Amino acid sequence: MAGTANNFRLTGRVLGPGILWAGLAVPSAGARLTLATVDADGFITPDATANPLAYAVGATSDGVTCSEKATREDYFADEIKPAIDTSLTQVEMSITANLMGINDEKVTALALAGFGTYSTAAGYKQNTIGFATDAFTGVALIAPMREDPTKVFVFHMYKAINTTGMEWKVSKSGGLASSPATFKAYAITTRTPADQLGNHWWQI
Amino acid sequence: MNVTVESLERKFKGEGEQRFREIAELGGWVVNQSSVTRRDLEVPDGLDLTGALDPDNKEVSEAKKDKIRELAGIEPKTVKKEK
Repeated sequence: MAGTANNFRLTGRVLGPGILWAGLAVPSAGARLTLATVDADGFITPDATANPLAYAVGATSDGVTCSEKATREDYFADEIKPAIDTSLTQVEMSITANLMGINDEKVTALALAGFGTYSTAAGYKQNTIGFATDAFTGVALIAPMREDPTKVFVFHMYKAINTTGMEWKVSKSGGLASSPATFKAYAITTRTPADQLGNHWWQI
Repeated sequence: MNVTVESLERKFKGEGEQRFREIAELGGWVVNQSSVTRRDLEVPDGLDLTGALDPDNKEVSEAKKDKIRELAGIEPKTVKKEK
């Protein structure tokens, strides 16, 4: 009898570093983040005409973690020990990273969305902390594919906000200060249900 | 190309919000909504029309793509006539 063909499924490996972007426009149904061609540094970046407000979030201390999770509720029958059914109750999509540009105005505005207000004058830049307006934005990681670095993997959240504020340690040892950020996706409820949070895709 | 309510208002004074709503419905940013404004989308960084108008995007019909171009003030696609 013939055996089943083995497949280690290693096609489409991703090896960083990637670049984290914010200020991204929302793609239409059936579309993805519009990318430009390879720039002078060898990176593929968001197309500037389609995403005129896009900006790089900057360096991270140890890369970027992308997460897509669903919460399920299991159902039981009294007479049967294992769960007999399950349904999906929540869906989450997030990006976490330790951001190093802790005094960069773009980074702080992003990290302090909803409660930080930036201002500047001669001799200083500052963020005041209090109550401000929530500002959601499109956030995406673009990273090269291992087999072909001219192609990329994209993890894109259409409407996200940082949920962890800013926190950084200043010390003579232990590395440069960085601030942990978790950008969480929120549903654009007017979109089709299967495409309300974001997408992840890769070029082939 | 990117559109926001503000960019459409600069091109078509007094019609920015209306055109934005219609583009959002045509391109599938909005599904089954009778009334949509920028606030319903709640993302200030604009709508990316490039993907919506891409010839490979089958989820937006050619008729809708033409209408989006008209609403956004984009030059219509030139169709070469076969001799």
